[in-house]
Amino acid sequence: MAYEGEAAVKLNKACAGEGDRVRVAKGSAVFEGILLPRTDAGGGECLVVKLDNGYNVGIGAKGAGVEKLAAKKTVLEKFASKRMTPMKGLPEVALVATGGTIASRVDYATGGVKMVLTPEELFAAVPELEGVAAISSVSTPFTIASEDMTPREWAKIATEVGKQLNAGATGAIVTHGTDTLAYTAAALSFMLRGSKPVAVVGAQRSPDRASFDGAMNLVCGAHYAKSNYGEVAVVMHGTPSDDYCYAHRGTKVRKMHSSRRDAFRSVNDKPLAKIWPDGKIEGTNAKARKRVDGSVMVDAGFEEKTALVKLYPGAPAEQLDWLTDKGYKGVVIEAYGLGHTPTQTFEKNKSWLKAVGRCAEEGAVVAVATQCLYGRTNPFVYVNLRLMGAQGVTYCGDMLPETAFVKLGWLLAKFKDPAKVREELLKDYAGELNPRLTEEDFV
Amino acid sequence: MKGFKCGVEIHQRLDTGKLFCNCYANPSKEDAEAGFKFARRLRATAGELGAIDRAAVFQAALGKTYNYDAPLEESCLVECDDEPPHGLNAEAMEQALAVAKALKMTLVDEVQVMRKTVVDGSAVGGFQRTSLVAVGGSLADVGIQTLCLEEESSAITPEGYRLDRLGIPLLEIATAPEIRDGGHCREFCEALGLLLRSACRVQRGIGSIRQDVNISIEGGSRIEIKGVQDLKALPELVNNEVERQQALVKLKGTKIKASPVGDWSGLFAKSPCKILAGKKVYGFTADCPGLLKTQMHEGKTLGNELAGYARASGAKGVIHSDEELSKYCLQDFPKKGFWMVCAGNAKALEAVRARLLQVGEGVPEETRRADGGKTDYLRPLPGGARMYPETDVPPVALTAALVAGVKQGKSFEERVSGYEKMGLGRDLAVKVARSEKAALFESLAKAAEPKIVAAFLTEKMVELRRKGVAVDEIGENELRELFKLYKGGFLTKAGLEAALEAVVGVPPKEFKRALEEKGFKKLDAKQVKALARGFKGSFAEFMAENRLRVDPAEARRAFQKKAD
Repeated sequence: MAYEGEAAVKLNKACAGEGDRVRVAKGSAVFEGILLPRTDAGGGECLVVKLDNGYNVGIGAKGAGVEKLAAKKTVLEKFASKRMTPMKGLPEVALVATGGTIASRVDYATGGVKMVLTPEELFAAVPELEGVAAISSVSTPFTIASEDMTPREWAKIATEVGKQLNAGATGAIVTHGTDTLAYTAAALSFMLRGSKPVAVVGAQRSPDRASFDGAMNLVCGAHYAKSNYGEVAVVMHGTPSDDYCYAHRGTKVRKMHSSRRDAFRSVNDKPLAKIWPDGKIEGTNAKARKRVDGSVMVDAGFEEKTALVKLYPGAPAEQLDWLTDKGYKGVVIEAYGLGHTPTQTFEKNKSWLKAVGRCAEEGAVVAVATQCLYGRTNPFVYVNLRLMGAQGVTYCGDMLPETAFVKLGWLLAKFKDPAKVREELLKDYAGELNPRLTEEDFV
Repeated sequence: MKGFKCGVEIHQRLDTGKLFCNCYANPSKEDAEAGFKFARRLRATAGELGAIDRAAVFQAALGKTYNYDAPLEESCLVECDDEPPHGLNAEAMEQALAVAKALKMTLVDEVQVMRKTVVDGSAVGGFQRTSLVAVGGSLADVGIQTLCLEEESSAITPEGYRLDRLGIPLLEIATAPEIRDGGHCREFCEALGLLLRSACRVQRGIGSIRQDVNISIEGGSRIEIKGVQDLKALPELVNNEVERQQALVKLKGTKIKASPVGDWSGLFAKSPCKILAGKKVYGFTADCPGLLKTQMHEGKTLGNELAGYARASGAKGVIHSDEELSKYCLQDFPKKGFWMVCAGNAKALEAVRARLLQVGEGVPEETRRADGGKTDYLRPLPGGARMYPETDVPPVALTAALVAGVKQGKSFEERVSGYEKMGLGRDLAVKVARSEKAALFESLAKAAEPKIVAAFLTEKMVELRRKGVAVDEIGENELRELFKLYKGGFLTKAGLEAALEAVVGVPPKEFKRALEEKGFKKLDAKQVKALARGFKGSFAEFMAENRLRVDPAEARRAFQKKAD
């Protein structure tokens, strides 16, 4: 946001611009310092000056005298950057940067944080990364907040990671915003057909903070990327302390807290490993897939006419009708408990039976996952499960709803026959189905 | 004193909720329970102009892990840096505005919340949130430069930091360098302390107000001395700092050559010195024998001064040839000339060596820690590069309506004269105004005669506490009910004082019944007369027996009648 009204007039008159040293006099007070850009958060007529003591203050332009002082223009937003020199003898790891908090810092336009950090600037914040792995390639296919991402971006990331892994990288790190990081991790788990480690890492605190959590996530992610694991994992803080990270299987992980560092949790599975920043790795899941060096096939298709619908009491079945009418080929219903859906409601039109039946008849695949997240669905225990089962739905077992959505879209791009897709949905591709849940697999 | 410049920064905790979350804590009043434990590392980050602050670099280079204890009742995810801050506490801002008005300051139009980089671990996020609210103003003969509203830091514990204190609102008031000397410094701090206690809601008790003192002399440099709590120590502290800078200025131009720091462990493998024997010992030599004996001020040599640099880098201290070596059993140590050693910490010795080589340059800018009248090196003086906008909190516009809605904080004198007008004598008025009961007094003054309320709060309750009565369990509501019973004629004055002890633990609604059962109910004139008539002793004996339920004037009248 630019300065407006009286502020703009006075700045123009004084030939003063952002980064100039100015003197703003108001009443008996004089404020001298560097003129900062206006942020959206305040009124456009308030001049923001960084005083010599470091404080920023807002001074209303009304009644203020503005004078430009003869001083050199200060360059704002100049941050240290570091080019990584791959150290000889260290395994080569590729880095694919996509944006997110891990690449963010202050934005003067909005006053909030924005993704503007280049990978080189990020390296300057985590210089120790150089001693962990030889970052052989750095690519930025796009820079976007994870909430703005669509399945098209998953394909781009998968293609880039596959390219680097096939070019000889031992493993890869993908930096990503945390909001939809788990979706991308699931997508990469299905789209990269091979057995090399890929660490998807993010940050809950931006690198402009001394308490930047992404530094440890990156370092641990690099350790994972050069390890003997052979699957896609989310590598993030394991506890609120900066002690170790967990590598969570890409298909069994979910962001479970809006702001904590240890927001990511494995659901219906154990994390693959605990990773300390000094390189120590402790395996925590006996079923972790091991690395198999060789080529990685990229199978990055995704049927965009796939939807994820959440049930809630009174949810209108018309939303499913709308998807059917729009030609959707797959729908995951995030249902209750064991996979329960409304089938015997007092008001007939509140039942989902008819809409699901119609959707399936039109050739779409309707899958059901549980919004409990923990535990698995069951097609038989209650009558409504059987009633809905008779309409042709597929119960997704212990698959997370988000993973079921990603998998369904991916399968629909691979197979044209809905029956085949239903069959493949229940085949384990990337550890997304855990046939044995124990007492330990719950919060 | 030629070129003497001195200003102070006063930090006063406010007694409101925390500045950026919904917790409340008053750590000076009660001990916090142990809470959730976690550990973090901090890294040096760039300010918005791209520079990394030298103080931040210094601290981050130490590479420390900080341990935190987050009491669950008095801290939340915000203090743990695991949740973004909530909006700035409007109640705390009101207190700041009341003080700014009392100090005749000019308010900024829009308060911008900043992050002040602090990587000593005392702020979990690596920064303290602070905002400049007002500039200009004065108190007595000293100009006030700035008033900031900021977050309190964590409390230091033997294991690390405790987070109950973190985030309590703090007023930081900085003066112009117009303090004339140590005595003036003390006088001014006392006056400002009184004003703050009078003009806004402040926390009381140890640590709730702290003074930082900035001092420079001609040829010296600006030194910030942090954390003065005892105002009585100020004159000595200021004098000592002046002498320290004068002594360092005299050493300007001294040229020193020193060997690099080396591993001297071999020399101490079988040393009689227990501190060094068998340890990893680092050492260096320099061409300045005797220099470290130079006195900085009484009780402190240049050697002590330099050792502060080693301590700031995590070492316990250093040993050097300008000390009395027999106390370390090192009188037979073979090295000639000047030498210095440090056990186990090469980085600390490097820091001392670097400072020694700087001796010829005069006084380096430093932040020092107050310890009574003496100070010790803490870290380099931070610069403006440590300020960064707090992106999680939008600016707060100080609109005309908002500002007009805040009453100017009363000065101490205004408050005292107000109490006098309520019927309190000067001494009692001053006593109440100085005490932490002032706000409670004002709230309760109308519940009974102000004089009785004032004496009750400042004298009677103190006396009862000394007797071991749990007066802290008696809150404002309980007191209000007691005064109501007294004003309504249910209690005598003596009964009021004794009743407090009798109602500890009783809910206010039950007071009347409980006090009646315990025989506190005041007797009416008829009952007193009847009682007096049947009494066989003197008036004094009668009062001794019935003082809690009989008004002395009433009894006197009854005895008079009996005699007639």
